Amino acid sequence: MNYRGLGVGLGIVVGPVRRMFTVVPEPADEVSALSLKDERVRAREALETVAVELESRARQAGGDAADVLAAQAMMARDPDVWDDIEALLVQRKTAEWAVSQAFSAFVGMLKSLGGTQAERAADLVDVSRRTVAIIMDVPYGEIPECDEPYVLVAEDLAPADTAMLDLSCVLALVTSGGSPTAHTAILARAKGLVAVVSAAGVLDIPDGEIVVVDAAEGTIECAPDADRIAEVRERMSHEDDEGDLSDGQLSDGTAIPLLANVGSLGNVQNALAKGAEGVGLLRTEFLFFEEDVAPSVEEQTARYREILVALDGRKAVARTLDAGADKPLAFLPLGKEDNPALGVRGIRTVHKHEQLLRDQLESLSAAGSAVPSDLWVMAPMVADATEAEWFASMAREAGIRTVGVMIEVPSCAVVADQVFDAVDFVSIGTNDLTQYALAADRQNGEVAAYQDAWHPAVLRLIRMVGDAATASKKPLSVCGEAASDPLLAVILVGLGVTSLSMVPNALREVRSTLAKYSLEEARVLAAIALDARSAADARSRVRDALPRSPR
Amino acid sequence: METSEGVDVISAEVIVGSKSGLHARPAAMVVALAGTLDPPVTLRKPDGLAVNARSIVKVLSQNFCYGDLVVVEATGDGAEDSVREMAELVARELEEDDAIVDAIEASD
Repeated sequence: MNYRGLGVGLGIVVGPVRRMFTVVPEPADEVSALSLKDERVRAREALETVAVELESRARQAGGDAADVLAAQAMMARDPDVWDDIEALLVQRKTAEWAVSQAFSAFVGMLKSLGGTQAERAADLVDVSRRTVAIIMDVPYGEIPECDEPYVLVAEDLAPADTAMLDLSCVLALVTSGGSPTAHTAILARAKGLVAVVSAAGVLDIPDGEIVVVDAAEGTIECAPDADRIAEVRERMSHEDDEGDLSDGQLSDGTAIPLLANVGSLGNVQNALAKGAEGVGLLRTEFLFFEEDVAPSVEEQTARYREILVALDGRKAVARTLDAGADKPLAFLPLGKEDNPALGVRGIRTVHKHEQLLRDQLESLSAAGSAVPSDLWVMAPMVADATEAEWFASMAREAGIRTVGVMIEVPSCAVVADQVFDAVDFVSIGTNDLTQYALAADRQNGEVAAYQDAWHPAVLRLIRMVGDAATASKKPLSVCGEAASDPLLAVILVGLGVTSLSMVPNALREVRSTLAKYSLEEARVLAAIALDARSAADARSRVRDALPRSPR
Repeated sequence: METSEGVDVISAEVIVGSKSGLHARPAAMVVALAGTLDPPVTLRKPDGLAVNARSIVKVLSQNFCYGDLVVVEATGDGAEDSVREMAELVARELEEDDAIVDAIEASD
């Protein structure tokens, strides 16, 4: 019996299954056989156990996960929830039923608010299930003991489930629910784990059964024979190698430089260690965020210079300050906006504060001429050729030799031919381009499903920019998240993109995937994606068109 | 912050200062402070019902957003101090700087 789902990444592993239970049986509405005092103790002790455990996880987790876990501990100790539980116990209900009912009333309330409150509703469900599982003495969210590395199988994984996982013991994550953009997939990408999500039926696989999880194929193979196990083990042993750090190229030898997105000097070292050929997006905001006043030209020059020295002559594409009502700066009062994504953002912020941009360009130029370097500078959120010309003339006046713009606004993609006349290069920010093309606010969880760069509308906008790049014989990069999705990276190249910039951890898989396709093949796959009816349809059409990997 | 004294209810009106509203982390900080305040405080929207600030589910259920007006109230001895402390917290930006940086990192 094999199972099929959506693979995250390209890895393959073999190992025993360990299931983690993330649902509990529904308690029955029946009259308690115990005294009120005993039911009260059962409920109270279970809640306290959950609170203590979540607090201890919060201390060990750190970061955003710690905040979520600490808030969950507060939910277990919530005095108003307790009042509701007690009211039900007084009616002679069982502790498990009272707990489940009291929480579910609030869950409904939070869900109805949508957005981030709906995410808190999921946290509340988790607290309720943990408590009910303790009262009823059933397994829930138990982390399998680590005796040998295993394939973790679950319905879906919440941050609370994964915060405490000893990931060194997890070979792969397999879930029956979830989606390629949800928590499990994000965790898998961040930790470099093999994962297959949305694989219906996998919870039926008994603990201990040996399975092969193949993310490239999106399959879980049960009862593999000895040859297959040996073959997969052999492939796994090579996975640990630092891997090939060669420059990015297609199977026909076409060079596709692979660069890194970085936001600080420390990230540059990491990127180079992972084989980045340079920096394709240097977020300069890091210099400004913690400051009460704008840093001086001298300070900025020194910081840019450090980065250029670390890059040792490799390409560095700096993006000028990208602030806005949704990315506020202490010294740049922008006020509250009803619609920050459509407001004063990116290059628009400096129209009123031109000196801020002039200082930054002067600093970049000074740093670039002080050390051997290949410095390119681009502006974010440019809307059309006029704005591109305005920026380009200011940048060239400051002595910047290679000037470009980011195309994130659909209007700019539509007039890309005019934009290329004004600048030396273009870099596409696919996250914002997607948000604007689909008219779906990235900060609004209710419309998160629209935020998918595989959408043919987004790909067609990219094709317009790609055609303009080809006609003008000027470089075109992508520095959005799309560049880190290996298969989408191939499509982007097929649309005319000449270099890709991404989080350093994504370099290896993108490099190895690009090496499998020629430019002609990339163009064929891109044409297939452009014809699709939706993002999901584009993914599945392209996957179906791929040659099956040899067994 | 405007303070007015009713019969024996001390109240203050304050604008939510956290960009992400009283959700997630800021809500937890409000509840953590509320647990230390005696007398306890309640929070409400100007036209809403008062909720116990020690209850995270109630605070979340009010969906207080950035820029919303919140009425902080308490009664009894020391109510002024309780209300003042809570009003000051609600008015602050409670997301850490690194949370903002994270948001930026994910934003291209």
